[in-house]
Amino acid sequence: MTAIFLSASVPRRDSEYYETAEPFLIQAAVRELVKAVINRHQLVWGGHPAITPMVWSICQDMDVEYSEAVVLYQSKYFQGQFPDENQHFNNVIYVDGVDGEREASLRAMRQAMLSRDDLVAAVFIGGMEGVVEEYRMFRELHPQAMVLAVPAPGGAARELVSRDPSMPAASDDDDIDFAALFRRDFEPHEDE
Amino acid sequence: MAALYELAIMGGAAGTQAENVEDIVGEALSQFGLALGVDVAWHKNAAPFHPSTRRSAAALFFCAPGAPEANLDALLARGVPVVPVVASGPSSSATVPIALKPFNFLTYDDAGPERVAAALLECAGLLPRQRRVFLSYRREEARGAALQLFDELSARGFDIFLDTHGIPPAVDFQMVLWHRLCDCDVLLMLDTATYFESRWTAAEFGRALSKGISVLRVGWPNLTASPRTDTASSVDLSAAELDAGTGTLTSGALARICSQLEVVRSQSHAVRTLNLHSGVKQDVERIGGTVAGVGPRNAIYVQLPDKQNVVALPTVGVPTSTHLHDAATEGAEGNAAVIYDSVGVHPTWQTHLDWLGSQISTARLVKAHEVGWHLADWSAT
Repeated sequence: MTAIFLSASVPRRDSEYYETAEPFLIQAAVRELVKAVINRHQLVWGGHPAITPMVWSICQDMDVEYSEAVVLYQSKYFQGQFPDENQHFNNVIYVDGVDGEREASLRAMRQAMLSRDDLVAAVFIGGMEGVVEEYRMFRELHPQAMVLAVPAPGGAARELVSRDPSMPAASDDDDIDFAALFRRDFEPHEDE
Repeated sequence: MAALYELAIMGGAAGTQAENVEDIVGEALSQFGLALGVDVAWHKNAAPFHPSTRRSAAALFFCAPGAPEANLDALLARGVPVVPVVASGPSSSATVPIALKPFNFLTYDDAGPERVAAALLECAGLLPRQRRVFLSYRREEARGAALQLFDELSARGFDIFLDTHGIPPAVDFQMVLWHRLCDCDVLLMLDTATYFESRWTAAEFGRALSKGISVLRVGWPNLTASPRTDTASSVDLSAAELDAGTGTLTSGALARICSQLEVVRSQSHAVRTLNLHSGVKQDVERIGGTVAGVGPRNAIYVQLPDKQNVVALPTVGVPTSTHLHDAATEGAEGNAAVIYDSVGVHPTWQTHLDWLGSQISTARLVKAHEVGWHLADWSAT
Protein backbone atom coordinates (compact mmCIF):
# COMPACT_ATOMS: atom_id res chain seq x y z
CA MET A 1 0.00 0.00 0.00
CA THR A 2 1.17 3.54 -0.68
CA ALA A 3 1.77 5.98 2.14
CA ILE A 4 1.46 9.67 2.81
CA PHE A 5 3.80 11.54 5.13
CA LEU A 6 1.94 13.93 7.42
CA SER A 7 3.74 16.75 9.16
CA ALA A 8 1.29 18.32 11.59
CA SER A 9 1.86 19.93 14.95
CA VAL A 10 0.73 22.93 16.96
CA PRO A 11 3.36 25.64 17.46
CA ARG A 12 4.17 26.35 21.09
CA ARG A 13 4.20 29.84 22.53
CA ASP A 14 7.97 30.17 22.14
CA SER A 15 7.89 29.29 18.45
CA GLU A 16 8.22 31.98 15.80
CA TYR A 17 5.22 30.34 14.14
CA TYR A 18 2.93 30.68 17.16
CA GLU A 19 1.33 33.94 16.02
CA THR A 20 0.00 32.71 12.69
CA ALA A 21 -1.08 29.28 13.89
CA GLU A 22 -4.78 28.49 14.33
CA PRO A 23 -4.97 25.28 16.35
CA PHE A 24 -8.63 24.55 15.57
CA LEU A 25 -7.95 24.77 11.85
CA ILE A 26 -4.92 22.49 12.23
CA GLN A 27 -7.22 19.97 13.87
CA ALA A 28 -9.93 20.42 11.21
CA ALA A 29 -7.47 20.05 8.34
CA VAL A 30 -5.96 16.84 9.74
CA ARG A 31 -9.46 15.50 10.32
CA GLU A 32 -10.48 16.05 6.72
CA LEU A 33 -7.18 14.65 5.43
CA VAL A 34 -7.58 11.42 7.38
CA LYS A 35 -11.18 11.01 6.22
CA ALA A 36 -10.14 11.60 2.62
CA VAL A 37 -7.14 9.24 2.40
CA ILE A 38 -7.43 6.57 5.07
CA ASN A 39 -9.08 3.98 2.85
CA ARG A 40 -6.42 4.24 0.16
CA HIS A 41 -3.11 5.22 1.76
CA GLN A 42 -1.26 4.60 4.98
CA LEU A 43 -0.53 7.66 7.06
CA VAL A 44 3.04 8.04 8.30
CA TRP A 45 3.79 10.64 10.95
CA GLY A 46 5.29 11.43 14.35
CA GLY A 47 2.03 11.81 16.22
CA HIS A 48 0.82 14.56 18.54
CA PRO A 49 -0.98 14.10 21.88
CA ALA A 50 -3.89 16.32 20.83
CA ILE A 51 -4.26 14.82 17.36
CA THR A 52 -3.31 11.12 17.59
CA PRO A 53 -6.44 10.10 19.56
CA MET A 54 -8.59 11.88 16.98
CA VAL A 55 -6.93 9.96 14.15
CA TRP A 56 -7.47 6.73 16.04
CA SER A 57 -11.16 7.59 16.56
CA ILE A 58 -11.74 8.37 12.89
CA CYS A 59 -10.23 5.02 11.91
CA GLN A 60 -12.56 3.24 14.34
CA ASP A 61 -15.64 4.99 13.04
CA MET A 62 -14.74 4.39 9.43
CA ASP A 63 -14.14 0.70 10.14
CA VAL A 64 -10.47 0.95 9.29
CA GLU A 65 -7.92 -0.95 11.36
CA TYR A 66 -5.88 1.79 13.04
CA SER A 67 -2.80 -0.38 13.49
CA GLU A 68 -2.65 -0.99 9.76
CA ALA A 69 -3.74 2.41 8.54
CA VAL A 70 -1.32 4.57 10.52
CA VAL A 71 2.41 4.24 11.19
CA LEU A 72 3.76 6.28 14.08
CA TYR A 73 7.45 7.13 14.41
CA GLN A 74 8.85 7.97 17.83
CA SER A 75 12.39 8.77 18.88
CA LYS A 76 13.75 6.84 21.85
CA TYR A 77 15.26 10.11 22.99
CA PHE A 78 11.77 10.84 24.39
CA GLN A 79 11.51 7.54 26.25
CA GLY A 80 9.28 8.07 29.26
CA GLN A 81 7.19 10.72 27.55
CA PHE A 82 5.33 8.54 25.08
CA PRO A 83 1.54 8.75 25.22
CA ASP A 84 -0.12 5.81 26.96
CA GLU A 85 -2.04 4.74 23.89
CA ASN A 86 1.20 3.75 22.11
CA GLN A 87 1.19 0.61 24.23
CA HIS A 88 -2.17 -0.47 22.84
CA PHE A 89 -1.12 -0.55 19.23
CA ASN A 90 1.65 -2.27 17.36
CA ASN A 91 2.01 0.42 14.73
CA VAL A 92 4.76 2.38 16.47
CA ILE A 93 8.33 2.38 15.14
CA TYR A 94 10.90 3.44 17.72
CA VAL A 95 14.08 4.96 16.34
CA ASP A 96 17.24 4.97 18.46
CA GLY A 97 18.34 8.26 19.93
CA VAL A 98 21.70 9.76 18.93
CA ASP A 99 24.31 10.58 21.58
CA GLY A 100 21.62 11.70 23.98
CA GLU A 101 21.11 14.81 21.85
CA ARG A 102 17.66 16.05 21.02
CA GLU A 103 18.28 17.56 17.56
CA ALA A 104 20.44 14.68 16.35
CA SER A 105 17.86 12.20 17.61
CA LEU A 106 15.02 14.02 15.86
CA ARG A 107 17.03 14.11 12.66
CA ALA A 108 17.66 10.37 12.84
CA MET A 109 13.96 9.75 13.35
CA ARG A 110 13.07 11.96 10.38
CA GLN A 111 15.65 10.18 8.23
CA ALA A 112 14.13 6.80 9.08
CA MET A 113 10.58 8.04 8.55
CA LEU A 114 11.19 9.87 5.29
CA SER A 115 13.37 7.20 3.72
CA ARG A 116 10.41 4.89 3.34
CA ASP A 117 10.02 3.95 -0.27
CA ASP A 118 6.24 3.68 -0.07
CA LEU A 119 5.77 7.43 0.38
CA VAL A 120 3.95 9.04 -2.54
CA ALA A 121 3.09 12.39 -1.02
CA ALA A 122 3.74 14.76 1.88
CA VAL A 123 1.19 17.02 3.54
CA PHE A 124 2.22 19.92 5.79
CA ILE A 125 -0.30 21.41 8.22
CA GLY A 126 0.57 23.95 10.91
CA GLY A 127 3.93 22.98 12.36
CA MET A 128 6.99 24.64 13.80
CA GLU A 129 10.71 24.88 13.19
CA GLY A 130 11.30 21.23 12.28
CA VAL A 131 8.99 21.49 9.28
CA VAL A 132 11.53 23.21 7.07
CA GLU A 133 14.02 20.38 7.57
CA GLU A 134 11.32 17.77 6.97
CA TYR A 135 10.33 19.49 3.76
CA ARG A 136 13.91 19.67 2.53
CA MET A 137 14.58 16.02 3.39
CA PHE A 138 11.37 14.85 1.76
CA ARG A 139 12.14 16.73 -1.44
CA GLU A 140 15.63 15.19 -1.64
CA LEU A 141 14.42 11.67 -0.96
CA HIS A 142 11.27 11.82 -3.08
CA PRO A 143 11.79 14.36 -5.85
CA GLN A 144 8.78 13.12 -7.83
CA ALA A 145 6.30 12.91 -5.00
CA MET A 146 3.48 15.40 -4.44
CA VAL A 147 3.99 17.99 -1.72
CA LEU A 148 1.01 19.80 -0.29
CA ALA A 149 1.29 22.65 2.23
CA VAL A 150 -2.02 23.93 3.61
CA PRO A 151 -1.78 27.66 4.37
CA ALA A 152 -5.07 28.46 6.16
CA PRO A 153 -4.16 26.90 9.56
CA GLY A 154 -0.99 29.00 9.62
CA GLY A 155 2.26 27.92 11.23
CA ALA A 156 5.33 26.79 9.32
CA ALA A 157 3.25 25.21 6.55
CA ARG A 158 2.02 28.63 5.49
CA GLU A 159 5.62 29.84 5.38
CA LEU A 160 6.62 26.93 3.15
CA VAL A 161 4.22 28.11 0.51
CA SER A 162 5.58 31.65 0.50
CA ARG A 163 9.26 30.60 0.74
CA ASP A 164 9.29 28.07 -2.07
CA PRO A 165 8.06 29.43 -5.40
CA SER A 166 8.27 25.96 -6.88
CA MET A 167 5.65 24.59 -4.53
CA PRO A 168 2.19 24.99 -5.94
CA ALA A 169 -0.04 26.58 -3.34
CA ALA A 170 -2.69 24.05 -2.45
CA SER A 171 -5.08 26.84 -1.65
CA ASP A 172 -4.98 30.38 -0.34
CA ASP A 173 -4.68 31.60 3.24
CA ASP A 174 -8.44 31.87 3.64
CA ASP A 175 -9.50 28.56 2.15
CA ILE A 176 -10.90 26.43 4.96
CA ASP A 177 -12.70 23.97 2.70
CA PHE A 178 -10.32 21.17 3.61
CA ALA A 179 -12.75 18.47 2.54
CA ALA A 180 -12.68 19.76 -1.03
CA LEU A 181 -8.92 20.31 -1.01
CA PHE A 182 -7.92 16.80 0.01
CA ARG A 183 -10.51 15.00 -2.00
CA ARG A 184 -9.44 16.96 -5.06
CA ASP A 185 -5.78 16.15 -4.57
CA PHE A 186 -6.09 12.57 -3.39
CA GLU A 187 -9.10 11.31 -5.25
CA PRO A 188 -8.15 8.59 -7.73
CA HIS A 189 -8.57 9.92 -11.22
CA GLU A 190 -10.51 8.22 -14.01
CA ASP A 191 -7.38 6.77 -15.55
CA GLU A 192 -5.97 5.22 -12.36
CA MET B 1 -12.88 42.00 16.87
CA ALA B 2 -13.40 41.47 13.14
CA ALA B 3 -16.91 40.54 12.07
CA LEU B 4 -17.75 36.97 13.01
CA TYR B 5 -20.60 36.46 10.58
CA GLU B 6 -21.64 38.21 7.36
CA LEU B 7 -25.19 38.94 6.27
CA ALA B 8 -26.41 40.62 3.12
CA ILE B 9 -29.51 41.88 1.35
CA MET B 10 -29.29 41.49 -2.39
CA GLY B 11 -31.62 42.05 -5.29
CA GLY B 12 -34.26 44.77 -5.20
CA ALA B 13 -36.03 45.21 -1.89
CA ALA B 14 -39.06 47.48 -2.12
CA GLY B 15 -39.92 50.44 0.09
CA THR B 16 -38.86 49.91 3.69
CA GLN B 17 -38.54 46.13 3.49
CA ALA B 18 -34.77 46.13 3.87
CA GLU B 19 -34.89 48.57 6.78
CA ASN B 20 -37.59 46.57 8.54
CA VAL B 21 -35.57 43.38 8.25
CA GLU B 22 -32.44 45.21 9.36
CA ASP B 23 -34.17 46.46 12.51
CA ILE B 24 -35.34 42.99 13.46
CA VAL B 25 -31.96 41.39 12.75
CA GLY B 26 -30.23 44.10 14.77
CA GLU B 27 -32.59 43.58 17.69
CA ALA B 28 -32.14 39.80 17.60
CA LEU B 29 -28.37 40.10 17.59
CA SER B 30 -28.34 42.61 20.42
CA GLN B 31 -29.89 39.85 22.57
CA PHE B 32 -26.60 38.03 22.10
CA GLY B 33 -24.58 41.11 22.90
CA LEU B 34 -23.61 41.35 19.23
CA ALA B 35 -23.79 44.59 17.25
CA LEU B 36 -25.05 44.53 13.70
CA GLY B 37 -22.51 46.22 11.46
CA VAL B 38 -19.66 45.49 13.88
CA ASP B 39 -19.73 41.92 15.19
CA VAL B 40 -21.96 40.78 12.37
CA ALA B 41 -21.21 42.47 9.05
CA TRP B 42 -24.25 43.91 7.30
CA HIS B 43 -24.22 44.45 3.58
CA LYS B 44 -27.36 46.23 2.42
CA ASN B 45 -27.91 46.41 -1.35
CA ALA B 46 -24.94 44.09 -1.76
CA ALA B 47 -24.04 43.90 -5.43
CA PRO B 48 -21.71 42.00 -5.28
CA PHE B 49 -21.51 40.24 -1.92
CA HIS B 50 -18.04 38.91 -1.11
CA PRO B 51 -18.11 37.37 2.37
CA SER B 52 -14.90 36.03 3.83
CA THR B 53 -14.46 32.32 3.19
CA ARG B 54 -13.61 31.89 6.87
CA ARG B 55 -16.97 33.03 8.19
CA SER B 56 -20.54 31.78 8.04
CA ALA B 57 -22.50 34.03 5.70
CA ALA B 58 -26.02 34.24 4.30
CA ALA B 59 -28.03 36.51 2.04
CA LEU B 60 -31.62 37.46 1.32
CA PHE B 61 -32.39 37.97 -2.34
CA PHE B 62 -35.40 40.22 -2.94
CA CYS B 63 -36.78 39.18 -6.32
CA ALA B 64 -38.08 42.08 -8.39
CA PRO B 65 -38.11 43.12 -12.06
CA GLY B 66 -34.64 44.34 -12.99
CA ALA B 67 -33.09 43.37 -9.64
CA PRO B 68 -29.31 43.06 -10.09
CA GLU B 69 -28.11 39.49 -9.68
CA ALA B 70 -24.47 40.59 -9.23
CA ASN B 71 -22.38 37.59 -8.16
CA LEU B 72 -25.33 35.37 -7.22
CA ASP B 73 -24.01 32.42 -9.24
CA ALA B 74 -20.61 32.56 -7.54
CA LEU B 75 -22.20 32.69 -4.09
CA LEU B 76 -24.38 29.70 -4.83
CA ALA B 77 -21.39 27.75 -6.16
CA ARG B 78 -19.55 28.50 -2.92
CA GLY B 79 -22.41 27.22 -0.80
CA VAL B 80 -23.39 30.56 0.71
CA PRO B 81 -27.08 30.20 1.66
CA VAL B 82 -29.46 32.49 -0.25
CA VAL B 83 -33.09 32.98 0.80
CA PRO B 84 -35.27 34.20 -2.09
CA VAL B 85 -37.99 36.66 -1.06
CA VAL B 86 -40.77 37.50 -3.47
CA ALA B 87 -43.55 40.05 -3.49
CA SER B 88 -47.15 38.92 -3.47
CA GLY B 89 -49.02 38.74 -6.73
CA PRO B 90 -49.55 36.46 -9.67
CA SER B 91 -46.40 37.36 -11.58
CA SER B 92 -44.03 37.18 -8.60
CA SER B 93 -42.47 33.87 -9.57
CA ALA B 94 -41.41 35.40 -12.89
CA THR B 95 -39.08 37.73 -10.99
CA VAL B 96 -37.12 34.85 -9.44
CA PRO B 97 -33.67 34.57 -11.11
CA ILE B 98 -33.05 31.34 -13.00
CA ALA B 99 -30.39 30.27 -10.53
CA LEU B 100 -32.94 30.42 -7.68
CA LYS B 101 -35.86 28.74 -9.46
CA PRO B 102 -35.36 25.37 -7.69
CA PHE B 103 -35.42 27.04 -4.27
CA ASN B 104 -38.24 27.45 -1.80
CA PHE B 105 -38.95 31.14 -1.32
CA LEU B 106 -40.68 33.39 1.18
CA THR B 107 -43.47 35.77 0.19
CA TYR B 108 -42.78 38.98 2.07
CA ASP B 109 -46.40 39.96 2.75
CA ASP B 110 -47.31 36.51 4.02
CA ALA B 111 -44.16 35.91 6.04
CA GLY B 112 -43.62 39.42 7.36
CA PRO B 113 -40.24 40.90 8.14
CA GLU B 114 -39.93 38.77 11.32
CA ARG B 115 -39.95 35.46 9.47
CA VAL B 116 -37.76 36.83 6.71
CA ALA B 117 -35.21 38.01 9.28
CA ALA B 118 -35.40 34.66 11.10
CA ALA B 119 -34.79 32.78 7.83
CA LEU B 120 -31.66 34.82 7.24
CA LEU B 121 -30.39 34.34 10.78
CA GLU B 122 -31.08 30.62 10.66
CA CYS B 123 -28.94 30.22 7.55
CA ALA B 124 -25.99 31.84 9.31
CA GLY B 125 -26.49 29.79 12.47
CA LEU B 126 -27.68 32.80 14.45
CA LEU B 127 -30.90 31.56 16.03
CA PRO B 128 -30.65 30.92 19.78
CA ARG B 129 -31.52 27.24 19.43
CA GLN B 130 -28.58 26.82 17.06
CA ARG B 131 -26.08 28.31 19.49
CA ARG B 132 -25.41 25.22 21.55
CA VAL B 133 -22.62 24.92 24.07
CA PHE B 134 -21.58 21.91 26.17
CA LEU B 135 -20.29 23.30 29.46
CA SER B 136 -18.21 20.68 31.22
CA TYR B 137 -16.70 21.02 34.70
CA ARG B 138 -15.84 19.24 37.94
CA ARG B 139 -18.43 20.01 40.56
CA GLU B 140 -16.09 20.09 43.57
CA GLU B 141 -13.72 22.49 41.86
CA ALA B 142 -15.73 24.85 39.67
CA ARG B 143 -19.39 24.87 40.59
CA GLY B 144 -19.56 28.59 41.31
CA ALA B 145 -17.93 29.56 38.04
CA ALA B 146 -20.00 27.05 36.06
CA LEU B 147 -23.27 28.47 37.32
CA GLN B 148 -22.09 32.02 36.62
CA LEU B 149 -21.18 31.06 33.08
CA PHE B 150 -24.48 29.25 32.64
CA ASP B 151 -26.35 32.45 33.57
CA GLU B 152 -24.11 34.77 31.59
CA LEU B 153 -24.15 32.67 28.42
CA SER B 154 -27.89 32.01 28.65
CA ALA B 155 -28.44 35.75 28.86
CA ARG B 156 -26.42 36.04 25.64
CA GLY B 157 -28.69 33.65 23.80
CA PHE B 158 -26.66 30.47 24.03
CA ASP B 159 -28.31 27.12 24.63
CA ILE B 160 -26.14 25.59 27.36
CA PHE B 161 -25.95 21.98 28.41
CA LEU B 162 -24.30 21.50 31.79
CA ASP B 163 -22.03 18.46 32.03
CA THR B 164 -21.43 18.18 35.76
CA HIS B 165 -18.69 15.77 36.58
CA GLY B 166 -18.46 14.75 40.18
CA ILE B 167 -19.27 11.11 40.39
CA PRO B 168 -17.02 8.25 39.31
CA PRO B 169 -17.13 7.91 35.53
CA ALA B 170 -19.42 5.36 34.03
CA VAL B 171 -17.82 2.61 31.98
CA ASP B 172 -19.08 4.11 28.74
CA PHE B 173 -19.72 7.71 27.92
CA GLN B 174 -23.48 7.71 28.24
CA MET B 175 -25.24 7.79 24.92
CA VAL B 176 -27.52 10.73 25.64
CA LEU B 177 -24.64 12.78 26.96
CA TRP B 178 -22.55 11.98 23.92
CA HIS B 179 -25.33 12.97 21.56
CA ARG B 180 -25.82 16.27 23.37
CA LEU B 181 -22.12 16.90 22.88
CA CYS B 182 -22.33 16.09 19.17
CA ASP B 183 -25.16 18.59 18.79
CA CYS B 184 -22.98 21.39 20.13
CA ASP B 185 -20.54 23.56 18.25
CA VAL B 186 -18.34 24.18 21.26
CA LEU B 187 -17.11 22.21 24.24
CA LEU B 188 -16.45 24.77 26.98
CA MET B 189 -14.38 23.11 29.65
CA LEU B 190 -13.39 24.53 33.03
CA ASP B 191 -9.92 23.09 33.37
CA THR B 192 -9.37 22.85 37.09
CA ALA B 193 -6.72 20.81 38.89
CA THR B 194 -8.26 17.38 38.44
CA TYR B 195 -10.84 18.06 35.75
CA PHE B 196 -9.27 16.90 32.51
CA GLU B 197 -7.71 13.59 33.49
CA SER B 198 -10.73 12.57 35.54
CA ARG B 199 -13.30 13.61 32.96
CA TRP B 200 -11.81 12.50 29.66
CA THR B 201 -9.97 9.44 28.57
CA ALA B 202 -7.72 10.00 25.56
CA ALA B 203 -10.15 7.98 23.47
CA GLU B 204 -13.24 9.95 24.44
CA PHE B 205 -11.58 13.32 23.91
CA GLY B 206 -10.19 12.18 20.57
CA ARG B 207 -13.68 11.11 19.64
CA ALA B 208 -15.09 14.54 20.46
CA LEU B 209 -12.43 16.15 18.30
CA SER B 210 -13.15 13.73 15.47
CA LYS B 211 -16.68 15.18 15.32
CA GLY B 212 -15.22 18.58 14.53
CA ILE B 213 -16.34 20.13 17.80
CA SER B 214 -14.18 23.06 18.81
CA VAL B 215 -12.92 23.37 22.36
CA LEU B 216 -12.59 26.43 24.55
CA ARG B 217 -10.56 25.66 27.62
CA VAL B 218 -10.74 27.98 30.62
CA GLY B 219 -7.51 27.34 32.48
CA TRP B 220 -7.55 27.78 36.24
CA PRO B 221 -4.74 29.92 37.66
CA ASN B 222 -1.23 28.43 37.64
CA LEU B 223 -2.27 25.23 35.94
CA THR B 224 -0.47 23.74 32.97
CA ALA B 225 -2.77 22.51 30.25
CA SER B 226 -2.61 18.88 29.25
CA PRO B 227 -0.89 18.54 25.85
CA ARG B 228 -4.05 16.76 24.78
CA THR B 229 -5.73 20.16 24.64
CA ASP B 230 -3.10 21.79 22.40
CA THR B 231 -5.60 22.35 19.60
CA ALA B 232 -8.10 23.99 21.92
CA SER B 233 -8.59 27.71 22.27
CA SER B 234 -7.56 28.83 25.75
CA VAL B 235 -8.50 31.51 28.22
CA ASP B 236 -6.02 31.35 31.09
CA LEU B 237 -7.32 32.90 34.28
CA SER B 238 -5.06 34.94 36.50
CA ALA B 239 -5.37 34.51 40.27
CA ALA B 240 -6.97 37.94 40.49
CA GLU B 241 -9.82 36.85 38.26
CA LEU B 242 -10.95 34.06 40.53
CA ASP B 243 -12.24 34.42 44.06
CA ALA B 244 -10.59 31.51 45.85
CA GLY B 245 -13.22 31.52 48.58
CA THR B 246 -16.42 31.47 46.53
CA GLY B 247 -14.95 30.01 43.33
CA THR B 248 -16.56 32.77 41.32
CA LEU B 249 -15.11 34.73 38.45
CA THR B 250 -14.78 38.48 38.11
CA SER B 251 -17.05 40.22 35.63
CA GLY B 252 -13.98 40.95 33.51
CA ALA B 253 -13.11 37.26 33.32
CA LEU B 254 -16.71 36.38 32.44
CA ALA B 255 -16.71 38.93 29.66
CA ARG B 256 -13.41 37.62 28.34
CA ILE B 257 -14.68 34.04 28.26
CA CYS B 258 -17.98 34.95 26.62
CA SER B 259 -16.25 37.02 23.97
CA GLN B 260 -13.79 34.24 23.16
CA LEU B 261 -16.60 31.71 23.08
CA GLU B 262 -18.39 33.79 20.47
CA VAL B 263 -15.27 33.79 18.30
CA VAL B 264 -14.62 30.07 18.74
CA ARG B 265 -18.24 29.17 18.06
CA SER B 266 -18.39 31.24 14.89
CA GLN B 267 -15.27 29.58 13.54
CA SER B 268 -16.51 26.11 14.40
CA HIS B 269 -19.85 26.76 12.74
CA ALA B 270 -18.20 28.06 9.58
CA VAL B 271 -15.78 25.15 9.22
CA ARG B 272 -18.28 22.42 10.02
CA THR B 273 -21.06 23.64 7.76
CA LEU B 274 -18.69 24.39 4.90
CA ASN B 275 -17.00 21.00 5.01
CA LEU B 276 -20.31 19.15 5.36
CA HIS B 277 -21.75 21.00 2.38
CA SER B 278 -18.56 20.50 0.36
CA GLY B 279 -18.66 16.75 0.93
CA VAL B 280 -22.25 16.52 -0.25
CA LYS B 281 -21.56 18.63 -3.32
CA GLN B 282 -18.60 16.50 -4.35
CA ASP B 283 -20.56 13.30 -3.94
CA VAL B 284 -23.42 14.67 -6.01
CA GLU B 285 -21.14 15.82 -8.78
CA ARG B 286 -19.26 12.53 -8.81
CA ILE B 287 -22.46 10.67 -9.70
CA GLY B 288 -23.25 13.17 -12.44
CA GLY B 289 -25.70 15.33 -10.51
CA THR B 290 -25.63 19.07 -9.93
CA VAL B 291 -26.09 21.30 -6.91
CA ALA B 292 -28.06 24.50 -7.50
CA GLY B 293 -27.01 25.95 -4.18
CA VAL B 294 -28.04 26.31 -0.55
CA GLY B 295 -31.35 27.92 0.36
CA PRO B 296 -33.66 28.46 3.32
CA ARG B 297 -32.87 26.27 6.36
CA ASN B 298 -29.52 25.50 4.72
CA ALA B 299 -31.24 23.03 2.42
CA ILE B 300 -29.05 21.88 -0.46
CA TYR B 301 -30.91 21.78 -3.77
CA VAL B 302 -29.76 18.80 -5.78
CA GLN B 303 -30.62 17.65 -9.27
CA LEU B 304 -29.88 13.99 -9.97
CA PRO B 305 -28.58 12.76 -13.34
CA ASP B 306 -32.13 11.68 -14.23
CA LYS B 307 -33.33 15.28 -13.56
CA GLN B 308 -35.13 14.39 -10.34
CA ASN B 309 -34.90 17.12 -7.73
CA VAL B 310 -33.90 16.30 -4.17
CA VAL B 311 -33.76 18.66 -1.20
CA ALA B 312 -31.06 17.67 1.29
CA LEU B 313 -30.91 19.10 4.78
CA PRO B 314 -27.51 18.56 6.34
CA THR B 315 -27.48 18.34 10.10
CA VAL B 316 -24.38 18.75 12.20
CA GLY B 317 -25.55 16.77 15.21
CA VAL B 318 -27.52 13.58 15.66
CA PRO B 319 -30.77 13.64 13.67
CA THR B 320 -34.20 13.23 15.21
CA SER B 321 -37.74 12.90 13.91
CA THR B 322 -37.90 16.71 13.99
CA HIS B 323 -35.16 16.90 11.37
CA LEU B 324 -37.07 14.47 9.19
CA HIS B 325 -40.21 16.54 9.60
CA ASP B 326 -38.33 19.72 8.67
CA ALA B 327 -36.89 18.05 5.59
CA ALA B 328 -40.28 16.74 4.53
CA THR B 329 -41.67 20.26 4.88
CA GLU B 330 -38.88 21.76 2.75
CA GLY B 331 -39.13 19.15 0.04
CA ALA B 332 -42.00 18.02 -2.13
CA GLU B 333 -43.47 14.53 -1.88
CA GLY B 334 -40.76 12.02 -1.08
CA ASN B 335 -37.78 13.95 -2.42
CA ALA B 336 -36.25 15.14 0.84
CA ALA B 337 -33.26 13.84 2.75
CA VAL B 338 -31.60 14.55 6.08
CA ILE B 339 -27.86 14.17 5.75
CA TYR B 340 -25.94 13.50 8.90
CA ASP B 341 -22.48 12.58 10.02
CA SER B 342 -22.89 9.07 11.37
CA VAL B 343 -19.32 8.97 12.69
CA GLY B 344 -19.62 8.54 16.44
CA VAL B 345 -23.34 7.79 16.62
CA HIS B 346 -23.92 5.18 19.29
CA PRO B 347 -24.80 1.78 17.74
CA THR B 348 -28.05 1.56 19.72
CA TRP B 349 -29.14 4.94 18.41
CA GLN B 350 -28.03 4.00 14.90
CA THR B 351 -30.37 1.02 15.06
CA HIS B 352 -33.14 3.36 16.13
CA LEU B 353 -32.32 5.75 13.28
CA ASP B 354 -32.35 2.95 10.75
CA TRP B 355 -35.79 1.91 12.06
CA LEU B 356 -37.08 5.50 12.07
CA GLY B 357 -35.87 6.05 8.52
CA SER B 358 -37.68 2.95 7.36
CA GLN B 359 -40.99 4.22 8.81
CA ILE B 360 -41.00 7.61 7.12
CA SER B 361 -41.76 7.84 3.41
CA THR B 362 -41.66 11.61 2.95
CA ALA B 363 -38.00 12.11 3.89
CA ARG B 364 -34.95 9.86 4.11
CA LEU B 365 -32.09 9.63 6.57
CA VAL B 366 -28.79 9.52 4.70
CA LYS B 367 -25.33 9.14 6.20
CA ALA B 368 -22.89 11.75 4.93
CA HIS B 369 -20.35 9.20 3.69
CA GLU B 370 -23.08 7.33 1.79
CA VAL B 371 -24.56 10.31 -0.04
CA GLY B 372 -23.26 9.27 -3.44
CA TRP B 373 -24.54 5.74 -3.05
CA HIS B 374 -28.00 6.84 -1.89
CA LEU B 375 -28.48 9.52 -4.50
CA ALA B 376 -27.29 7.29 -7.33
CA ASP B 377 -29.98 4.82 -6.36
CA TRP B 378 -32.63 7.34 -5.30
CA SER B 379 -35.45 6.12 -7.50
CA ALA B 380 -34.88 2.48 -6.72
CA THR B 381 -34.87 2.81 -2.92
